[in-house]
Order: sequence, then structure tokens, then C-alpha cells
Amino acid sequence: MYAEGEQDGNPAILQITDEVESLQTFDYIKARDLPEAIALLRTAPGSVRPLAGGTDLVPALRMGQLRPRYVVDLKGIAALQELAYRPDAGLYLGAVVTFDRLLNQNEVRKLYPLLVEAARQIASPAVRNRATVGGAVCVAAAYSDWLPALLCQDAVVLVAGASERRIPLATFLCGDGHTQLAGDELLAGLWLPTPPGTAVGSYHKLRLGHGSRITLVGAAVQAHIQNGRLQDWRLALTAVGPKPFRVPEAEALLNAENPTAAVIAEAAAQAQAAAAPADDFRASAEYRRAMVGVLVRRGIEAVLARGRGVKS
Amino acid sequence: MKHEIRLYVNGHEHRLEVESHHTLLDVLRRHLGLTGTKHGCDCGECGACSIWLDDRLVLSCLILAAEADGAHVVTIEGLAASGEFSHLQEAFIEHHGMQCGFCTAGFLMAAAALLRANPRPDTATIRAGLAGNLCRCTGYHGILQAVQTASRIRRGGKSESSA
Amino acid sequence: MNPVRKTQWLGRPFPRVEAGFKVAGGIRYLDDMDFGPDLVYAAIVHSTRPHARLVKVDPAPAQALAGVLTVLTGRDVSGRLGHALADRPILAQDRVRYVGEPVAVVAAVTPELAAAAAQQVEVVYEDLPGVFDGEQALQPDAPLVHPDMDRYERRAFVHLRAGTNLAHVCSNRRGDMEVGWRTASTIIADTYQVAPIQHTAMEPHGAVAQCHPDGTITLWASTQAPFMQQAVIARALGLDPRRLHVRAAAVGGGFGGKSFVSIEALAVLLAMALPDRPVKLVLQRFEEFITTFIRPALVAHVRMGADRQGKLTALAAHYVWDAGASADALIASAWAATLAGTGPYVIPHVELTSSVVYTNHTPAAPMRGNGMAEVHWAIEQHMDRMAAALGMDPMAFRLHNLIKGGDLIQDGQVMHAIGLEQCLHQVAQAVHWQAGPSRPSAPNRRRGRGLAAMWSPVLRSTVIASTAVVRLEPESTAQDIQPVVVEVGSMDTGQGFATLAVQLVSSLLGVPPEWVRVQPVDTARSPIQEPGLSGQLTWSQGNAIVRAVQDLRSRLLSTVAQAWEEPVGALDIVDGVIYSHASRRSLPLWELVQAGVRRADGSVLYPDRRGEGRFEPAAPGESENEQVLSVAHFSTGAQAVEVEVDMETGTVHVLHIASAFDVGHALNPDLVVAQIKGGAMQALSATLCEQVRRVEGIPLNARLGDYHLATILDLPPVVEAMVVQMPQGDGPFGARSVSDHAGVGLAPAIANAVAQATGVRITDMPITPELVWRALQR
Repeated sequence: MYAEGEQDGNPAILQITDEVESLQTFDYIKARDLPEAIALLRTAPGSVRPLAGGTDLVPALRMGQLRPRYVVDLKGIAALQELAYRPDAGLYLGAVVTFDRLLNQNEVRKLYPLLVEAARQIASPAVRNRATVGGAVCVAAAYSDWLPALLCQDAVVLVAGASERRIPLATFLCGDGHTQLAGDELLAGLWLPTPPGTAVGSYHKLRLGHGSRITLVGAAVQAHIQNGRLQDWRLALTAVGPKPFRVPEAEALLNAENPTAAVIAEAAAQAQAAAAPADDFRASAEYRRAMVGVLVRRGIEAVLARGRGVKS
Repeated sequence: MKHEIRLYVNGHEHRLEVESHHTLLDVLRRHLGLTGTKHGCDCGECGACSIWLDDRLVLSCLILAAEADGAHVVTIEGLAASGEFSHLQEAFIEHHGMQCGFCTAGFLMAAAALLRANPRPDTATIRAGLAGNLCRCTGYHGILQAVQTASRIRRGGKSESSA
Repeated sequence: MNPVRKTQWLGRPFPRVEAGFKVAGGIRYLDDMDFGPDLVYAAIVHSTRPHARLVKVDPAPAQALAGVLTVLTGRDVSGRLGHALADRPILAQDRVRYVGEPVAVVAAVTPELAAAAAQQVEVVYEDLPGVFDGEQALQPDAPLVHPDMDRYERRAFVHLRAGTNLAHVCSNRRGDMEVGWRTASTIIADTYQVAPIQHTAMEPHGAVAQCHPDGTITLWASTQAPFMQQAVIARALGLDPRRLHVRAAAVGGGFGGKSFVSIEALAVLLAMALPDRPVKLVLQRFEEFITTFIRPALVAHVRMGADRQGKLTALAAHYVWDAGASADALIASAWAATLAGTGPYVIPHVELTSSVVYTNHTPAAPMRGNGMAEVHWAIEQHMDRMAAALGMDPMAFRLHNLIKGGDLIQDGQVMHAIGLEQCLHQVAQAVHWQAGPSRPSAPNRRRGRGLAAMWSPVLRSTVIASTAVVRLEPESTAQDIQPVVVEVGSMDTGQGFATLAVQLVSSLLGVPPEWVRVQPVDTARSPIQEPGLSGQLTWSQGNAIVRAVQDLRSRLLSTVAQAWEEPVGALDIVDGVIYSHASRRSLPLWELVQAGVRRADGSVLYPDRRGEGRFEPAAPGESENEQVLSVAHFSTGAQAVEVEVDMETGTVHVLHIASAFDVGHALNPDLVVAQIKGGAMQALSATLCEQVRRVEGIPLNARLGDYHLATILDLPPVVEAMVVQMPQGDGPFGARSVSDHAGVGLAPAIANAVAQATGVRITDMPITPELVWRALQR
């Protein structure tokens, strides 16, 4: 099955390929550029899986949950690695930018505090060194920690395929594990408009243990300092519906009035009304709905407190 | 499908022919005989297979070997041989940061990565840096103490804030 | 025999002997061992139904794949596994009884191919009604999991009820219940539940087997109980046990999950079908959750009474254990629950019953503490409630009823000296028990303190006897090959027993610790130890080692004494040199071993180089009650915590854990402390996070990411371990073991602290945020 290679000089090839070809498995292909990747997708529609960080895909391949014919690695495509901020345009995140890279980018740390707070809470350091901002969008987990923060940026998804499409993230997400991406399309990147003022954010989530990977309920809140006060409130929830979503009713309340305790309570109630949580073995719908109220209130209060800190 | 790849593992160059479905963990353990890196869950949920890939902490069960073509890998065997983190290894022994030892290599790779990025981590930073590694025996207390001690030794014995 | 004076390596910190290898990645666990190019990989075909008749198991599609060497089904083997009760088929026969049960097993040239081929085995089921709850399984109309159980091979102490799901029932009664209730002024009854959890050793189960040309079979296994593997597998496969040779690999954690036979027989079965090829079966993580063992779910019905003076008068408790599809591993736990199911208190009128019940769940096996963590969850919460009803402080109420040395615990058995009271005082002091509630970190949080006492019986039935051999290898000279060899029949699964063995041997023999090595267990060579007892190694194997060293030392010195014509008492061994206090003569030990000792007449005497020691716990007395005779001694301790509860989300934050255990004599204080801290955190994980979730027998969270083990983020800011040393009469230097029960009191201590903080009582483990929140809504 294998022959030992040399360790020094120009090593001989250590062959560790299987003798047995009957094993049904995938072929790994590393794409050099976007057109090549898209062409590969078209060769076998429906049985090609794009690979970015691999933190979700590789275990699914190992467990036989996914059985594609081809796995196309996108990490080598320069266009997808772009991470750039332009004050006039906003933040562009190429699909294969890792969370760790995101967390170490100066403008992101300065201008997108909610993204940073949410990204820091994703999985573990070793996973954040591989997992990508685009991969997490394509996985579209109902309990994602990443999507609510992105939703609060009014993020737009850039889709590459036969033609380029720009789809608001909220529309792009269809439900747990489902997106608008067609079989011959790729998520090329995310475009996050420049925040309308200094952004202040908070992400609160509830888990079974402090190190647990599964979020039971999560609430992202962001507001922007304009003319010395917090405006343009945004609020998104996760794990209380088939996909993470914004709560415009609650946002409108916060934008309309000074967020007194009564207004905060009303916004939290709106968020609870918008939530459509499931009963599952991790938590009941009743508990999740109740926790939406608690976390939204805490999120708003945290943003108010932090906003005061920024101003002073 | 076969791939010819080149890997630099613990300073040694290897040319390998691997199948698409082989993970980096498979290749390190089964084919290069580097069994210090452990197979604990195959899902990136236990941390036992932690290694460094191009100087970054990663989980080798989540990476296809073909993806790692051209990369530099450091495993526990390489870390130990380098001697660069012998003070960390000694601190693990001193504070009983291990019992059965199965998770130990993963913890050491994560802790060394953490100390390299931040030689003076506070307790919260240590906890965050090791949050992806599971240990069923020690209860983590000895591990935390070991990393705290190692960070002090590096700075010449100055004490750090307590747990 | 010489008095043994040299104890310089005992009672003080001593580094773990294998630690240097562990921090360098140099320890080879089973999956790390090299079995050469002929190695074959196995994969299991699991039942996907909780209860079904097997209509068809067709291996042909898998068999047809190139590279698949064999596929075996229930048609190829009919044996059943079990130590006390042989109730688990090696491969499912006419029916499957749980999701995850092995239906067939595949061997192929690569692990990927074996896994892929396993998917190709065609299995047709005809579903049967299942039973998924211990108490429902006891109902008269419940579907039967083992209709033929009365035909199963079993030991005399297994009391099953054919025609029901009751695999074993045992009781312990004393006093007169009627009097007990009549003299009580306060009676409280309630039900407590413990969810099933998985042992989750970081190293999955694994086995490699090879059938040699001479017909013998070697089984390498990750096991806590190599001799039990040998006996149980040989019996199930109809082999002469001498044909099956079990070699234990380094074990990456067990906690009870590797104390029995799980999947190892499958590797042996395949090896017999593929002569001369090593066959490896290493489980994937999800299989750990569905195919091996889980800690049983428990339902505990408790009724307790006390008089006006606060003295306990009566306790009736029924412990119902959900055994899943195999009860074999729970027989001893069920007994322990009837022996210690009172908690460590003096109660005159007692009726304790344990029922081990079959269901269509993955087989259960005890986890660390042999059922005591589950039993104390109920009793130690109930003690707090009794105290509250009586208007007493929980600590004072416990002290008022606490069992002490000299108290009668069972008919014919008197409690030995214990340091339980000191343990309670120490943990109470550590968490500032007497102080008022401390200030929470946020307005929506509340703080509370809780404590629990515990005891744990060491069963004689699990420690029949221990034997150790200490021998000198004459061919070795250099110290780096460790010429003093210790052979025992039990495995160090990480608790540090090998280190303790080195300490004992070097101290008692009088040689440097670097000379001593502990041989991995090999059933063909090691002294027999059946069953496995990883929780009691210090006491039982420690005693055997002490005796073996004394035997060896005595043989060595008597030879020298004879040659030198001096009294044995004048001789000593210090740092590897034999020395005479009388004549000042000296002789390096290794010279004696290799060249003998010269007598005055020029002739040479050679010493015996092998010492053997056997420890058999003394019977505690005569009794009509078969179970009473089974307690060798009790281990005791106490745990206390301070918690902070988020009153809006129900999240419990543990701020401080204090544990104190009476270890008799801490032969290696650092290892003792490591066991106590590690045991506490493992218990914290079970108390707050863990639960094997399933609905109608279908597993829902068979992966680590959805199962929730505590991580370093859950580590409380303060974790303290304290040691009380009330010597164990028959322990080595007074020592008794601690690793097994180091977490037993933690769960009720946390529940009691949550109750103090919030005013609500959580009777079901784990204490999830939602449970607390629900209780707070009421």
C-alpha cells in the first residue's frame, strides 16, 4: 500500500493511495480562478461541493452525510481572498477570508464591533483559523452566531455564476441549511456598507455549557452614534426560527423613541412576537421565546451602556 | 483520485501520493507514523488532533491532505524535539496537567500557539485559547496552572494575576 | 519478615512516571500501535431500530466489494457476553434491542472501505413495540426486551424475574419500618431523576485481534479489565481461555466505560475468520454514544422521616436503573445502592430496593462511583429538605445524623474509623458556610452555597483478591532499562497507579525509583485480577505490591544473611546497596543478583529474584444477609460549592468548589489532589451540561458538539481539594483509594446551592438553564 520515502534531499514519493478503487468517493480539485471553479460546478451539476475552510464540509464527507462527486477547493482563488475596507464603499469580505483574519483586521476591529464580538464566539480558536466568512453563510445554520451580526450590517451577498448576482443577505438565506445559491453558482464575497455612524454592538447568546457549540438563542443588537445619540438600531435573532432574521418592528420602536425601560420592554416583546422557535431536545419553544425577551433587553441595554462609553 | 503533494513536517520534507478523501490527520498518523496527534472525534469537536499548519493552530481532522500541499506542519513530536516549549511541557508535568494523556498533545499545541501569540496571557485569554480542547480527566485546573506557570517562566519569574 | 523502614518516596509529591512521554506524544495507545502491513480494518453495521425482528441480514453486497475480506452476521456466532449475566449477543440474533447494536461486522483492507462496505450490508427489520423508560418497563403490559432471560447463563447473585423486564432486583431491610414512620415527626417523600450520560473517555474504544498459526489468539485492547475481557470473551465464543491472550494497551481514559467487554469480541471474531491477520476495530465517536456503554438513567423514589430532635428514623428508597438492553454491568451498582443508599447516616429503620430494568436503550455501565453519584443526588438533596422542614441548618442536621466510627451500619458490621466529619467541616469552612449570602455580580443574579456528604462502599464482590509480583531481571544491568519489574493484573488508566507502584517498590525495596518499571497487563504473564477495579487500585493492588516487595526483600536479605553469617535484622538495602549495620559490609544489589554472594568457604549463594504478594480483603463478619458480607470498607468525603444563578435565564455559574476526602494516607498528595479536582469537574459537567438525548430509542445528540462536555470555560474560578487522613486499617500504609468517588457529592451540593440561591429545588439532573427557569416561573 505504501513505500517509504526518503527524508532528506529530494524525497521519493510515499504512495499512500488505496489499492482498492471500488470505494465510492469524491475527487478533490483545487481551482485556480473563479471561471475554472464555476466551470467545474457546471460539469456535474448538483454533485459538486465547493470547499472553503472545510470545518463543516470535511466531517460531513467523512460521515457520509454528503456524497459529492467533486470537491472544489476555493482557497487558492485570489479574488475570493480579498479583505478590504473603503470608507466610501464599506467592507468587502472575500468568501474564503477566515474568521481569524477578520478578527485581526484593523478597520474591522475599529468599525464593526458587533462582527468582532460575534466572530470571537464562533467555535474554537483552531476552527476560527480555518472557518471562513463565506462558508458560514453557505452553511446557513439556523443557530449561526455569525449570521445575525452580518444581518445587522445590511450585508449583501455577491454570487458568481453565469451572471453575477447581488442579493441582500436576508433574502439569500432560505432556511436551515438552505440558500438561494444555485448548483452552478458560488458565493464570491460579502459586501458590508459603511456603518452610518460609529457602530456600537452587542451579541448575547445562551448555551447549555459555556463551551458548548450549539447556541440555544442568540440576539445581536447594533446602533450607530449620530449627532451624539444612538440611532439606526438593528436587531437580529438566531436559533429561534428556520433562519436568523432581523426584527424591523423592534428596530422601528427603538428608532422612534428614546429607549426608556418601557420602550426596551416593548422592543423585546416585539422580538418575542417575531420569533418562531422550535421545540427540540435542546430547548423548548417556550423557553426560547422567553429568552429572546431577556437577551434582546440585555443587548439593547449593553449597546446603550457602551454607547455612553464611546461618547464620553 | 490521487494527488501528489509535498509536505514539510517537523522540518522534514515529504513527497506523498494521497487520495482525495485522506485527511491530514490520516496522513500524519497512518502514513508518516506520527501518532502523537490523536484521533478523538473526526468532527473538529475535541481538539485531540490539534497541530500547526503554516504556524497556525488547526484541527488536522478537518483538513484534507490534498489541501495542505506545500504546507509546513508541526506536530507534538516536532514541538517536543524543538525544545522551544520545554518549559511548557515541564509545567504540564509539575501541575498534573495530564492524567490519561490522550488530550495532552492537543492541549500542548494549543497552549504553545497561545503563548507564541501572547507571551503574557491573562487567565481569560488562556481559557479562550484552550476552549476547543476537551479533557475528561484533569478538570482543566492543572492545565490552566501549567500554562500560567509557563508564561511566568518565559518572563523570568514574575507572577501573573490569579485564576 | 523484616520490618520495613524505608518509605522515603511515600507521602510526598512524586512526579507521574510516564509524564515525560505523554508531553512528547510518545505514549502509544491502541490506535497508535504498529501492526504491520497485513493489518485489516473492521467496521460495525449498527441496528437503526430500537426494537425489531431481524427479517434479513444480507452481507452479499458488502462482500462483493473488492478489498472486503469478510462480513460476519449473527448467523456466524451465537454467543452472549456478560460477566454476571450473559445477556448481550456478540452480534444480534433474531432481534435487535437498541439503535447501535452490532448486527454485522465487516473487515476490509482500509478503514474507509470497511466503513463504506458496512453501509452496503442489507438489513431488513420488522419493528416491534419498544420500551424506553425504566418505570414503564416495569408495568405488566410492557413489551419484553429479553423474553428468554431465564435461559441466560448467570451467577447465583443475579435475581431476575423471567417474563418481565426486571433483570435484577435486590433489597436491604433492617429495623421495623412501621416503627420508623410512627416515631417520625416529619416525613418527606419525593422522586429524583438522573439523566443518562456517556463516559466519553477521550480515547475511543478499540481492539486489535490476531489468530496465530498455533490457534492461539492475541487481543490487544484499550481496557480497564484485561482479565475480564479474557474470561468473558472466551466464554461467549466457546474458547478455552488459555487460547485467548489479552494484552492491555495504554488506556486513554475509561471511567467505567472500559471496565466490561464492549466491542472487543467483534475483533476476536473477525480474527478467527481471518487467520494470521491482525484485525483492528476502533470506534468512531458517534459509536461511543450508541454502541458501547452509557451511565444509566436513574429514578429514585425516596421517603424519609425524622423525629422532633432531628434524628432520622426511617428511610424507604427504591432505585430504578435503566439498564438499556444489557443489565450485566449494573449488578454491582444495584447492590451498592442497597448498601449505601442511605447516605452516610445512622438510620434505624431502612428499606432499600434496587431494580435493574431492561429497556430498548444502549446498554448501561456504571461510571466513576459505581452508582453512588446517582444515589447521592437523591439522598443529599433530600437531607437538605428534611433540614429545612425541621428548621435546622443543613450542616448541623448532617452532623447530627452522621455515621461515625463504631456505629452499627448493618447487621454484624461496625463502621471503621472515618474522617467524614472533618471532611464536612473543611469544605464548609472553605466556602464560608456560616457567612450570609455574598453579593452577586449583577442585579439579576443570586448566590447560594450548598454542601453534601458522601460515602461509597468498596464491594468485596469486585475485589476477590489482588496479586502482585515484583521481580529482578538479572540480564539487565544499566539502570535505564529499569531492572525491577512490577507485575499486576490491573491497568493504570490515567489516575497514576503506575507512579504509586514505583513509589511503593522503590521505597520498600530500597532502590532508586528510576530502577522500577510497571509492566503493562498481559493475561499470559501478569497475575490474575478479575474483575477490573480501576477505582480501588491503591488499596487492593497497593497492598499486594507491598506484600510482594516484602517477600522479595526478605528473600534477598536472607540469602545475604546466610552467606555473611549475620542476622537478617542487621541488613538493610539503601539506594540499591545491601548494607550490614553489624559488620559494615556492603554489596550492590545488582552484584548479588548477577554474581551471587560469596560465603566464607568460597561457595556462592544466589537469591530468589521474585517476590509475590496477595491481598484478600478480610470478611467483615457473619451475617444472614449475603450483601452485607460484600462490603470491605467505606470511603467518605464531602463537597461544597458556591453558585451564582442568573434568575432570568436559569444559568448556573459555579464560583467555588471545595472537596475533601478521607484518603487514609495520601501516598502521593499531588496525585490525590489531581484526582479530587478532576473528579469534581467531571461531576460538574454531568450536573450542568451532559445528557444522552433520545426519543423513542432514537439517539439525538450522538456527537460531542451536541452533547456538551464541560470545557475550560466552565472551570470555576476557585477549585480546592483537601485531604483528610484517617488511616485505613487494611490499606497500604493506611491508604485507601479516591479516584472512583471523587465527584460523588458534587451534583447534590450544586443542587442544594441552587436551592439556597433561588428558592427552587431541581430534582432532575442535569440542572439545565431551562429547568431552573421553569422552576422559577412556578
